[in-house]
Amino acid sequence: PIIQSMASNKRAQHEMQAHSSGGPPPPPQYPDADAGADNEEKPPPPLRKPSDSKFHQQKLPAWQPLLTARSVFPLFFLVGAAFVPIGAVLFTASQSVKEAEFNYTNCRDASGISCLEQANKPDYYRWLRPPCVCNMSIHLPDNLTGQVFAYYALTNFYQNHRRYVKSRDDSQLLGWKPGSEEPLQDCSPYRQDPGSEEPLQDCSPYRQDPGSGSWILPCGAIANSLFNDTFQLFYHSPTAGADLAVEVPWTSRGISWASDRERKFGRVKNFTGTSKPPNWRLSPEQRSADSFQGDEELIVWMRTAALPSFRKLHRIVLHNASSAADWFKDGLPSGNYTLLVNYAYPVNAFSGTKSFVLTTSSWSGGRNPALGIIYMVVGCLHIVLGALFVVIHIQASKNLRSSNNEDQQTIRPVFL
Amino acid sequence: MEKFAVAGLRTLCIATARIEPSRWEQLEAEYQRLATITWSCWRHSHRGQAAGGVPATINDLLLAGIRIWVLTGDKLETAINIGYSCRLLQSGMEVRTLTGSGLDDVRSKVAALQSWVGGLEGSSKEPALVVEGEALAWAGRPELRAEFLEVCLQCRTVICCRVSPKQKSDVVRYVREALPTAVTLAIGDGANDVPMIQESHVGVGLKGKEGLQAAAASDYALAQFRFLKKLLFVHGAWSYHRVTIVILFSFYKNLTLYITSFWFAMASGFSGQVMFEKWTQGLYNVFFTGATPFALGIFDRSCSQENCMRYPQLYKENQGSGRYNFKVFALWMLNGVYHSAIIFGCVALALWHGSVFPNGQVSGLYYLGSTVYSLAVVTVALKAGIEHTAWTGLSHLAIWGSVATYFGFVALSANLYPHVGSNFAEVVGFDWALFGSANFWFLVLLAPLLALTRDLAWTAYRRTCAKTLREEVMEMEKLQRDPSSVLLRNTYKRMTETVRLLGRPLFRRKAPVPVSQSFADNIDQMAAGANN
Repeated sequence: PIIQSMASNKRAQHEMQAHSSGGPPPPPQYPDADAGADNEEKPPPPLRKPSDSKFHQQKLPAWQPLLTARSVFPLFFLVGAAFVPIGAVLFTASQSVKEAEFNYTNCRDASGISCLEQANKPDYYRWLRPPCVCNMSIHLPDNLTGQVFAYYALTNFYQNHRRYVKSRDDSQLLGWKPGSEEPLQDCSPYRQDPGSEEPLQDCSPYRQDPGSGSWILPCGAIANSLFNDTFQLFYHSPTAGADLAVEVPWTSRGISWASDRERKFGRVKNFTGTSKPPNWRLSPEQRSADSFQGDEELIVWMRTAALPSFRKLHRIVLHNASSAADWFKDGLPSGNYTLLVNYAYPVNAFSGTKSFVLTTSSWSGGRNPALGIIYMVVGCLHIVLGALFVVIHIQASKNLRSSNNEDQQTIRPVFL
Repeated sequence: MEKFAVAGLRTLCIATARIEPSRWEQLEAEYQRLATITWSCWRHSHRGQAAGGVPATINDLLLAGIRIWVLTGDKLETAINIGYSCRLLQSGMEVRTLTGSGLDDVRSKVAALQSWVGGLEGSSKEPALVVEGEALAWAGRPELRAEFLEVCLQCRTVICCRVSPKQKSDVVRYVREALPTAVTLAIGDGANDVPMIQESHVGVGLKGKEGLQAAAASDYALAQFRFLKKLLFVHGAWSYHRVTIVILFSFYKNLTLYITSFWFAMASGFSGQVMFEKWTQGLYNVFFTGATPFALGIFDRSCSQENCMRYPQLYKENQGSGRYNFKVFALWMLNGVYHSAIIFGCVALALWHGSVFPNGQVSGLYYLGSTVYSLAVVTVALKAGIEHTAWTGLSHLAIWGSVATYFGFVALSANLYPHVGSNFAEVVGFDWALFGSANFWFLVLLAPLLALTRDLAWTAYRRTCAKTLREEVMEMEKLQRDPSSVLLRNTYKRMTETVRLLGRPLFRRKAPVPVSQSFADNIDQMAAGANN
């Protein structure tokens, strides 16, 4: 250590030279013990001094929000003042939608036979029995003004079950797996799926027809369980004769998402060598000339619902169709209607129900007051919170003021 | 000599010789040089003890509630000297020494010390103990260790002298075993400090004239002792705050998203169906919520550097696992579950029948999932914002950037199918479906705000009515008022020396500023703590 300190002690050498000529050197002055080390010899030049930027020295300018009662209650009032009107607007929009729902699970046909019982008979869905045509008289209490939509609603149907959701083959639906033939040229410019022509294993047990051994197209449980009730709606005008029933014209065009039609479902040119799903009465070609792109009911069904009670768009009313003259120009008028349902879909096995829904729409969708109500409740909650924090703030500052005037020894905030 | 040196003892060698006068002439010239060298050696050897602002640093460490023991190889008198010069030993303290050898001798002395310490309890005098290395060797034996440590832990400070390197590490080990919840830090500058540095929880080595062995063996290497203050009060405090918040936030954000899957399972027959598209779900922690823990962990500051250094009392709230313990963790997790319930509940109610579009079309499973996911990303980002104590520019980037990245990803992933195989089939067209839906935007506005209302309200309440010392200092700093004035009280005569020390740099006599009760308590604690 002595040698080291000698080498770095430049000032010592300087002193030595200064004192070499005189007598014994004066006694060295002992510096104050507290002095910092930087008063001594010059420090060696820093070799790896870190950068002095704000970023490296953790001195970035920062906003430090104070989040006390005083800074928070204006925010609560603001949110409350904004949310209550928003909620009112949403609620009004929802209330402006008129809807009518008719549960036809237990409906009967013209001769009084319960279609539910018919549907429960074992070979009903193999189309070996004549279909049961359900005859329901329904009454619309209010006019449905504006564009009217017809939905079917199912309950207790878990389209969101994992085994069900994965039971599909998207490549088939795109038209890339036509059966035993090569993938279609029509599919370009999409890249051809280099996989085999076999449907996915996910689709089993609706993958291969047990009789013929050919592939099922479209495979899977979702496609197989396609909703196949068909409806006809007749309006009985009070002014016309009692026997005059105007059929409500509607269409299935436009019920599915445009992106689905264009990008998820394609056209299958050739169905030879494939089988239809076992629960289908009609084959895909019979259902639509442009299967699957044109089979919008299928497309709507294939978009599995989120919750066990759901609705799916079935038909869009054509208000300007010439077949119905001007009856439905402004919507569906209130009054008596007859609903004829070709009761094909069995829901009894899973204790579900089926309903037919007629509704209008608004800019916020169908009739659902939930969002509007939640907004109004939250807005009121925020106003209450804002008021509460005003009180807290007043109390706190009153407390500080009073503690300013007294000896602060024994002050306790009032509300703690 | 070598044996002594290896045992860690300092050696001094003196020799005499008869010198001829002619030889003396030559030597006198050398004498001056030797005197100067000796003086600088003396200064260097005392450097570690008295130079470099050590007493002030030690004083601040004591104010912060840190117990300080000195373990030195010097002899008894030197050690006591050091103690006084560092102000570890003060005039108001009673100092006793423990010397001796042999088990029975040391045992009886330890017993005497026990009664001495017990007698001093409650009185104004504080006990301080100086232990000699040999006695330490006997007192550290398993038969006596418990009593010995009991005495030591009741003393305000303990100085061990004439200790070998192994004994230094032994002492640290005894303390660790006796106080399992305490955190120990050892700081030293020589090779003989290396065992001690390695034994303690945190080892700090000083780079000094004695070489770099201590620094090489340590967790942190400093150039001077006084830098320890910044290491602890600034970097230590910040690190504790940051690590805590990163851990809690990381668990919370995952809970917020994935517990929504549990609520969904209740509606999907517990079949295990996932409502999110798989790539979106997988990128949650990486892309959509990965930046905010970084911003919190690297840049968030619980208190400014200046105030951390100026007020050692602020360090106390980092001790004793106050900010990270089971209760804190459980509350954060519950908060995550609560947020997930709100998010899922709002979406499920809004998408009840599924007909949410003006054109009458219906949504489906993955639409629900995407909506829930979007709300979760926004909620989690805003929660990170609330947890920030200091919003830097990078915090803004992290928070708003995360949300923007997610929305950008939605727009991108909606258009990828079928160009990337079967991936992203579930979200085809979701850019228009989500962004073009009024319901979606109203939900984005509603659910995060509703979820964070509780967080905001509770934080505001706590910072108004139950401020911690640190928050009060921060508030004063923000309002550009002198924080030290907050610590002063009306009646000057009640100020203890500690508070006076605290107010020393910027103490101004002006109209007394209101002080909250938490402060009054803290001042008492400070006074009590400083005397402990």
